[in-house]
Amino acid sequence: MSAENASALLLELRGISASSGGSEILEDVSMTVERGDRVAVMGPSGSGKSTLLKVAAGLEPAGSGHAFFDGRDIATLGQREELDFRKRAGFGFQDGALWENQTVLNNLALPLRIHRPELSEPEIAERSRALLSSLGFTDSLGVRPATLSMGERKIVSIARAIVLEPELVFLDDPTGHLDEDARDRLYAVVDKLVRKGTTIVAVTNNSGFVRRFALRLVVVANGRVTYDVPMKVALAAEGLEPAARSVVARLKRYAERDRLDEIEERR
Amino acid sequence: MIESIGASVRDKASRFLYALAFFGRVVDRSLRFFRRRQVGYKVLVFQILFTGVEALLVNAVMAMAIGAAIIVIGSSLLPQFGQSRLMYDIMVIVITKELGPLLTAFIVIARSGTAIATELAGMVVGHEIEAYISVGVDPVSFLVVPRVIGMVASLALLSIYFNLFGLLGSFLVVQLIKPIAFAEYFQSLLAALAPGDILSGMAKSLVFGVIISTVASYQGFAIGRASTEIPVAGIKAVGQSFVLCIFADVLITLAQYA
Amino acid sequence: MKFRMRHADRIVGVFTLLAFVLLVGVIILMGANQRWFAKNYTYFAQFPTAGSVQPGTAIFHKGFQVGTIRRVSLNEAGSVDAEFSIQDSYYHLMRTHSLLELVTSPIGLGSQLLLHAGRSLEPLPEESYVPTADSAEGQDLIELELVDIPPKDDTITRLLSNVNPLLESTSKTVTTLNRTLTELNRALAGQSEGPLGDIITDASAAVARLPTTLDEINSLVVAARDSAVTLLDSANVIAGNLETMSASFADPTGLVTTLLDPKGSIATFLDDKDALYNRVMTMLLEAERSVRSLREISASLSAEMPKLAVVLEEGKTALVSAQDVLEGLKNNPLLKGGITEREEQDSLYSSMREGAFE
Repeated sequence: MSAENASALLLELRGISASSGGSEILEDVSMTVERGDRVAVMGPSGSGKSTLLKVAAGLEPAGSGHAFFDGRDIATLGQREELDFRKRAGFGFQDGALWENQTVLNNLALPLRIHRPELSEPEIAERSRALLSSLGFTDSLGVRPATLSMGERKIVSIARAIVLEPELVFLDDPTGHLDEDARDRLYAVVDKLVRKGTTIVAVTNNSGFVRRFALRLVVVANGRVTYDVPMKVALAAEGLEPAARSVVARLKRYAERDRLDEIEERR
Repeated sequence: MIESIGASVRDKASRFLYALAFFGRVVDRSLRFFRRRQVGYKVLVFQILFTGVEALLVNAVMAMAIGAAIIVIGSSLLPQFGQSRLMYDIMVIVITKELGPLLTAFIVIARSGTAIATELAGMVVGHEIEAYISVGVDPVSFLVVPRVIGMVASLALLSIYFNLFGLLGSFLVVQLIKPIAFAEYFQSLLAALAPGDILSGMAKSLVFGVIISTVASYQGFAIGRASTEIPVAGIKAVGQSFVLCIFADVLITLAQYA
Repeated sequence: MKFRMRHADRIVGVFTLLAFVLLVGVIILMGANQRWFAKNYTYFAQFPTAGSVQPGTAIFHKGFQVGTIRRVSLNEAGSVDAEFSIQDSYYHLMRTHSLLELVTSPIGLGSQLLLHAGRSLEPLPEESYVPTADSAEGQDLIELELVDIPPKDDTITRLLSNVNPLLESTSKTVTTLNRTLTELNRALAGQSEGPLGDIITDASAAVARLPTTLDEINSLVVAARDSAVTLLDSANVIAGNLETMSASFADPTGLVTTLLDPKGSIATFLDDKDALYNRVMTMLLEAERSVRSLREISASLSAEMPKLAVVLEEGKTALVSAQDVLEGLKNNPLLKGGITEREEQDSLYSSMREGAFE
């Protein structure tokens, strides 16, 4: 089970469909993520990319299809396997999803207490503080999330996702709500993850983040994966520097065309 | 028409099964809670603080009022039938066995049932539940179980205090209006009180505690994504808890007398 | 709020511990009060039916609970075997000749099981048989006065409350009777020689006994506090006296017969074809019947005191009528005065009953 003798495939989605309140959000989505890969999932709002991420992380149930982590179906994990999976895969939520009734410190300390029982409370506090300050969060750790700004919440949430130093990190819109300063510090932290060979799956529409970290580009539109190529291919196809921008521009055209199709169909 | 009935029955049945499964999970995790010391311990302490300690005042006032009413009415009405000793039996039946547990449950439903349902519903809306799952914390073990155990413990403790205030506190209240001899009162009360009465009151408290906390947690978890559903979860939790508690009360009482 | 948060553990700890301490305290007090830990002595008894002696029925002695029925079972002979326990602090009551008595409340408020201590110094060993008051053995013990049976407080109170109106009614009867005889005396004034004189002496003697009866009843009220049985005896005495009195009325050689005898000294004044004679006879028969039923009732007096009062009332009414007749006897032939209008007077007893029962 250790990383050395396992296959290159870390995450695999097979024919995933998901629906909510009667409307389809994902339809027959399949994709794979290899160890050390860094995937940027892009697409228009409401295209289902957040849902895709949550299904892949086992936070939302798939209507049909299977998600595999390290060769195991995450829907049928036993208790130990589940704990192992959670320890190895962190999740940074779009809106922070901090535990409002816990202090900032506890928001980071809880995963450590569960997965690293060998650490003492001072060690846990020290780790949390160090990680947060590397992300530029210098406020007291004794406050509750309600007193934080959206940007600060986002930072704490990302810190919580990586505090266990997982091999796979899901990031849902990591740059949202962040100011320029915070974004730079986030990049620095992600740089560190990259150096450690962490696999990253990020849902984002920030071309700067994509251009800097992504090795692969996945475009989701209307619940389907419409584009899944290595970044190099995407970049080569469209030239160098303006390529990322044109990818976004093309996404917009996709969205527009799909929307027109839909309007056409409704008529 | 028939299809809509069928669909609603299927929907109800599946929800009922889900609720049963939820309850089973709660029971399972509750049993595990005691086997190892969990991080949920702190949640448990706070649950007892909020549900038990903070409801004590309302509970005590209510108990003393009811107890005093029984003493005043009983000591003036019953001697007319030559049955003044019946008063102690009535007090034990009303305060220890019947009304005490039920009224305590009502207080707790109004205070903590809504609190649990809306708090958990708020967590669902704020994706906090997903966040717990994402770090490997089972929300049932961590969030529901301490609340269930805390609620059960609080109700049991509150019903002890309800008895105390209802049987003895009310005596002090009555002293202000219509003095009666303490030794005689206390001894008659102790003679009227049977271990079965205390046990029955306790059993009710336990059952009510399980009902209220499970229903409230379930309703809290059962909402969708909209923040407008949070108060709805609270309302549903209160309504269902009321009905189920009264139902359980009747069943337990019937089981004793049948 | 901050304080509560910081000291949550401590507050909850105190809250919990206090409740447990109180609960345990109450349970211990309950146990002490209900004698869970005290030694009990077991005995056996037999009852004709288990209707009022269910397990858990308390056994009282002078108003204190001294024991409890533990078990009852129907035996092959058809009576009910009961096992009961006596608390150790009341063990001294269990002596040879001790007996149980099941007293049923006359107004339907259930029953009480009483323990009466035997008049003996010999303690009754555990697991012995204790007779009940209804059994032949129990009756013997009571008759031989081997058992110390205290008065039953609530029954006595009820009896006493009935005795007072009774006394009043009796005293009225006596007064009426006295007046009747005075009337008679006046009617026959100056003619006290011969048989009439004897008759009046007869009647006077009968009536003269009544005040004595009254005194007896008076003393009986005092005595009743000590013994209900004595009360019943005295009631018999009253009845006996009344009977003697009415017998002396009805006696063919007695007062009225002689008075109305065509050959009697006042025969000439009574030439009304025996109408008066018949009337007096009817009334006297009525009075006699009342007295007879009084005697019957007093034989089984137990809880029948009100009926006794009714009978006395009837007797009084009859005597009042007799008085009227005698007055007519006096007025009509001799003085031509006629019977004076009698003011209706509500009977004391019936008004008392109306007040008490409505």
